[in-house]
Amino acid sequence: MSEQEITQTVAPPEPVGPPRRDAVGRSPAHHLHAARGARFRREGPFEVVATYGDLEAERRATRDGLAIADVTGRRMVDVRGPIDEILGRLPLAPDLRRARISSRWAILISAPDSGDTYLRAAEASASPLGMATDATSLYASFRLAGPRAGDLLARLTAFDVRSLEAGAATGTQLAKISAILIAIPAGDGVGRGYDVLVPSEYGRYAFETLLQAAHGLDARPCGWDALVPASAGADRRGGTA
Amino acid sequence: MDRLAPSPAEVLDRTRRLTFSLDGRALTAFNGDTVGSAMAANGVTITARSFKYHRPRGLFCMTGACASCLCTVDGVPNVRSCLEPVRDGMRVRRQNAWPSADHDLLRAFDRGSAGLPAGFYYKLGQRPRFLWPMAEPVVRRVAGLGRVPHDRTPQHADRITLHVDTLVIGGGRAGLIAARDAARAGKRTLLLESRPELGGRLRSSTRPVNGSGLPAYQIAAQLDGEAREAGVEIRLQTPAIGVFEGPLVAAAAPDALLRIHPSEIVVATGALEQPAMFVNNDLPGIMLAEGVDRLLTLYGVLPGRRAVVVAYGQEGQETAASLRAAGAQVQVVNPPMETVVRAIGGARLRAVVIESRTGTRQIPCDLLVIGGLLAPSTNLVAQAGARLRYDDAAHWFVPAELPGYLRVVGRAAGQPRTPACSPPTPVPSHGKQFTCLCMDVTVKEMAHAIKEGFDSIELLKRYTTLSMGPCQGKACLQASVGVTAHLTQQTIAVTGTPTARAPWTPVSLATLAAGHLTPRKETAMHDRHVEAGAAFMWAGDWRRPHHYRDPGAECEAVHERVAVIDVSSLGKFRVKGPDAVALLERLYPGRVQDLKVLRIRYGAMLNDQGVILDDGTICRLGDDEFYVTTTTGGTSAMDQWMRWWLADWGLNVELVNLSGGFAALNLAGPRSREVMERVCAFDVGARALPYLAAARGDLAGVEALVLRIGFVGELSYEIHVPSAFGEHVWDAIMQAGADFGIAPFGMEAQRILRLEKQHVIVGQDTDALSTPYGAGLGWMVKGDKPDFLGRRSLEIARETGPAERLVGFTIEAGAVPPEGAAIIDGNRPVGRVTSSRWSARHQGGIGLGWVPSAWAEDGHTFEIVYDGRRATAKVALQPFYDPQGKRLRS
Repeated sequence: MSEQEITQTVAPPEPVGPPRRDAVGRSPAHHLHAARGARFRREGPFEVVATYGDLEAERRATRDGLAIADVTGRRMVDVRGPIDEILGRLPLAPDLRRARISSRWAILISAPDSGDTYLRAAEASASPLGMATDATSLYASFRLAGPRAGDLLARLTAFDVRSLEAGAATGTQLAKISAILIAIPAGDGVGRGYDVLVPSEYGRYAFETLLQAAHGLDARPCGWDALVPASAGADRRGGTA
Repeated sequence: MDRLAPSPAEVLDRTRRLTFSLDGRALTAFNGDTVGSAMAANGVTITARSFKYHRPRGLFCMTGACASCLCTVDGVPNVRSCLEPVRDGMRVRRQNAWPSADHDLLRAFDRGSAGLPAGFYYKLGQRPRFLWPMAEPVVRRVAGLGRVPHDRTPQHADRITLHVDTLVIGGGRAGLIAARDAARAGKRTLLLESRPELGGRLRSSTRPVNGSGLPAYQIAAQLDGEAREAGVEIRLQTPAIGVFEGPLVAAAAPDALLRIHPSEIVVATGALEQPAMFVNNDLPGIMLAEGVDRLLTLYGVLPGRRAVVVAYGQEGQETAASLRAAGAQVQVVNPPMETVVRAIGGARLRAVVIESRTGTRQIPCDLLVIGGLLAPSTNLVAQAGARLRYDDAAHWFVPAELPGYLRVVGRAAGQPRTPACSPPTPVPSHGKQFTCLCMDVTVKEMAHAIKEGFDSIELLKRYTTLSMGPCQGKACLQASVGVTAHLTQQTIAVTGTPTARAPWTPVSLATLAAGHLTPRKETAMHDRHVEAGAAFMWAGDWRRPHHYRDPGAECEAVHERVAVIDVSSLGKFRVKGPDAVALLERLYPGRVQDLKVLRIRYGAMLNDQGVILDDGTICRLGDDEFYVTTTTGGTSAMDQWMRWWLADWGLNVELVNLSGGFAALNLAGPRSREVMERVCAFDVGARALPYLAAARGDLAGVEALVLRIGFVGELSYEIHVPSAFGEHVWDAIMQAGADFGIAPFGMEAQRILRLEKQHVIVGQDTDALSTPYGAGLGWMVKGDKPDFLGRRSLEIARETGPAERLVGFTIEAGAVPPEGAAIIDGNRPVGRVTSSRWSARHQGGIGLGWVPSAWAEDGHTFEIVYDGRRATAKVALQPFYDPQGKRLRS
């Protein structure tokens, strides 16, 4: 290659804001869900699995067995820098989950339709100490809900998940790939669980591996509707954020 | 079935009868029976044929330690029948016999054993050499243990990780007490037991335990209950197979490989009963005392009506009492005053010959019990790094120095110090005396091996296969060491034991392979590639389309119309911070500081020797923010490389690897701008978005970063969008380009197109010695920069000049030398071909290769040798396609 440097400058185009209504975001495992008969619905710009058909069975799995749900689509912000200081500057928000992975790394998770609210807030809090990056597409995330969730993780990671307190997060190896584990406290009628975040390029592999490893654990894939407490009614955000 | 009267200690449910088949013959059993106990109850004395000599073998230990009862159960070979529960309809076959275990014609090997000396395999394989290929199939067919089942799916096994405070290995009395106490102290406690029940020797004994007034089996039940009540997690039929650094303990559960991370390990593996040495010490009807106890107590089976018990210790006396209570005639032999020198029998023991000071006598019998030859089970202790020492009182090796996390309790620690006997030594008599029952190793073979110079226990083990069989030394270690010491006239302490290694208990390959996973990366558009009929290839962990149809046609689509390739696998990094410029200035040999916002520069990262590590582009997004791309294969390495230097230099920069978070497409071809105009809400014209410029904006409704770069020789746009929208954008572009005849192209077409432009592929065209000067990338090195990685080395390299240069070449029509082919000067190799393809555009073979620098002149000819032929090539320093780059910059 010969050296070619263009010195002419052009003004950067204006930002265009969030994706248009017809732009559809999908999980890497979208087609695997479709092949299993999933019914989809929109959550913000994302198409997510509502249910695989038997909502009651999926709800039972979250309480009594093991439910595996693809919860990719939630807004995520990757925050780097002095985390305690940056998170301390963030406004409190009930629908924002703060997963502190290390003293210099955290992930903020909010509902798919929360727009850039928390990205902007994180950018403001991080500047000039660190950096906030939209990580929504960076991870495929899966919720493991129910009393057998720990048993499934014991088959896939050497990390002692029982040592992870509710709300805590850690980086670890899972199914031979890098992953982030977040312990989710039990909700109203929804058993305690874990969120597994994997690089999105491993999303299909991770979903298949979670299902295969879950044999014998009363496991079933479930949609977003099963993760929302029945009492939550139309407010579906609390269960997944 | 022949059974004793029901006993409260037995494990049988006599109300439920089961039926199973043995070599096609229907047998009955009770629920709770093992295959071994059911065979004994049905009068079956031969449970297997031996490994080498096809000698008959019967139940011996009944604890899963030895290999005398290995059977094929429902197609699974080498199942320990003494521990395998009977299931209704189970099909059992005895192994290693032809035509049957009861009448095995291959017993002829026993008669002709003089032709099977120690080191048989080594000798047969060496001289004469031509013999081994003919002999091997025969040897493999008649020797060995069972047959690998090819017609069944291996049993599924999981790999499970457990974290506990205290791991207790062994569920005998000492192990149960240790586990109970640990759990009561609030520790998360796991107990592993290899047998189907807890209690160890207590479980199979009805004798009262001193002081308690309770029979031993009830003490076992009591301890079992206490441990469970305290919260101990108990896993039966789960032997620990290895102890590793960490500590990490591996254990084989029936359906899983357990990887256990304990804070503390308590080894309570007890003591292992050992066989005695005498002629024909392997006949069916010879058993260890605990095996007899288990048959009597747990399964209600009397293994012989006329028994001789060799009572080396208290265990022998107790078993003699149990046999008498069960109705057997019993004679007790008390070593060392009396010694068994020979067993007599064929398919079953008929008599034993006893030698004493008063003379020799023969006692008719159908059962010979060896009781009380005990060796502390220390293999796992030694694996854990403990030092063992020889204990004169125990006549064996006991744990001495232990790692801090390890405790040894009970008989494994050499406690209680009951009077012990020294390891057995051979009797001076003709006939086969087996030191290793698993591998059919005799005293005579050991003596021959020692004469040949294999006179240490480690060498003997390897030469004779001593203790290398399924028991892994459990049933032969003491005899092996004792006989070796006797033959070499050394002490036991000097002779020592072989190095302890995992697996201590045999484990199936399916279990070892448990949890095997092959991670794979797939792009957001993977399903679209599948739908388009892509043939995939591995690119590192990525699955990428190699081609969709004819790669030549895909190249033509790029040159003539418009085509798109998924390049999501590229490494992508966001670099931001006050010192971002300083970081990149040090990482790259080119300039970064003067790069304007939304401008792009090609760059290669070098190591401190000036060798090219990786290449890619740097796009400036803001004053202190950059978007850096790397090669697919170099992503992880460059991530670590950048972080390593970032930490070392202490710069105020944050780095995020966005590789999977962004889908990337390269839209290329003369019609690509028209397609872009249909999907972009911003100006993509030549003036607004010229070559090496970038733009951010709405593309099909998605915020996109568009880079005007390309490596396929045509006008092209590299489009980066959040990967969740990758499929959406792919669909939009394919739809927008449909009337231009847009087509996807794969990696093979990309390789051809890159080669036509002579673009270097780092790692393919470069190696661990390639500098920018040799690779034709010297233009990127800015020597006037203050500092960058590799600067000092490059200064020297520039002064001396590269010895080799990477050049393009054309080759005579029809020839495409393979990558790696030698470039020669006369007959001397002086270089190599790194890339080569057939180019339809060029109508000939083209390539890149390393040649002596003196040859790097346009038109210089040289020879390439491959497949036994020579081809003449001609150096071409300019790209083969569009050398001025007009199409690229259009």
